[in-house]
Amino acid sequence: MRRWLRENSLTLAFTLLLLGALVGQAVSGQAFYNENALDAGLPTLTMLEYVTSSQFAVDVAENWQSEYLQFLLYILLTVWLLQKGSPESKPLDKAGRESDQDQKVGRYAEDSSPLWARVGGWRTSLYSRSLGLVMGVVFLGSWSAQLVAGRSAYNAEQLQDLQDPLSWTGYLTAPDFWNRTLQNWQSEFLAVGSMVVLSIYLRERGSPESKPVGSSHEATGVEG
Amino acid sequence: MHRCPAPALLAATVLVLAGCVGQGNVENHNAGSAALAFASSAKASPATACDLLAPETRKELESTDGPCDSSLPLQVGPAGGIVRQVQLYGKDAIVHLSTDTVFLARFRDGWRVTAAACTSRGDRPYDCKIKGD
Repeated sequence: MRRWLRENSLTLAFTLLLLGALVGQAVSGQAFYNENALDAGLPTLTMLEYVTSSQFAVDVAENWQSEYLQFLLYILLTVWLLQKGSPESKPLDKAGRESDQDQKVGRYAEDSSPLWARVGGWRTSLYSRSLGLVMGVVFLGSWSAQLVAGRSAYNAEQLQDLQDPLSWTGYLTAPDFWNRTLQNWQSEFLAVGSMVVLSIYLRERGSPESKPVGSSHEATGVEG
Repeated sequence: MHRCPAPALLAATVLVLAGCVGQGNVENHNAGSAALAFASSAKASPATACDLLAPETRKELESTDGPCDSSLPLQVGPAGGIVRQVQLYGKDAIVHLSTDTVFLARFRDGWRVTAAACTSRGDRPYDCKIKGD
């Protein structure tokens, strides 16, 4: 058990952080919503009503979609794009999908390789892109959830302000949808860009996200 | 580094469903019935209609025009009509009657009118003779 915990500690830690943050978001979000509702003389929400409301859903979904977009782009762009000196980049001569030998697929697969990496054909082709595909599907799912929940939450506010609700096409072109979307995207792109550049010159001893402390600034694709 | 796509997919589905919470036919019907009951009773039985007003809306009406029973009939348009369209998002609804447009909110004890006797002004908020502060 102790060994299992140690070998999965990274996933467990992030799962606990996620749950803790979600609970905190729910508590503070409900308090914020009810504060505004009381000020306006409108109905308040119980915790159950709040966590199943479009207001909570859109706040969660708008952050999720941007995180998955960030990793989708990172996974795909680092196949072809390089950054000299960054451990986040591949070595400068490795741009592209690489050879079957480099990727250990088909006849170059090893005994321990996953089945779909060994069998060739469409299964190996699909498995070779599975990480990006799943990230892309989750991104589109989260973004769609933001659209659905965002329209519902926005239209509830419209009604509270004695205005007509927006249609689907109306909300798709509304500032609310794109402001929620782009304010999250810009912060994700900043964070990834900063990581790529800062990791050229700065080190974090023991982290696989950093080069070894003594590596030169020119060393590319080296993780510590 | 980042795993568990299946739970994330499930959660995304839940989020989509959550966006639809509260938009069922039952609540549409309840909101429409409350709006119609308000419009039908506003002139003939104002005490009934006053009980259907949201607390802040009734307070505002009484602070500017006097007791609800006597002031409400003077503010509303023709009585009754039919429900033409109900649009509902969460705890808020707009009901287009043939005789009026009514805004409602769902409180613990049911749907209450937050604004009535409303006239559309296009992209701007409706002009409502009865509304909260």
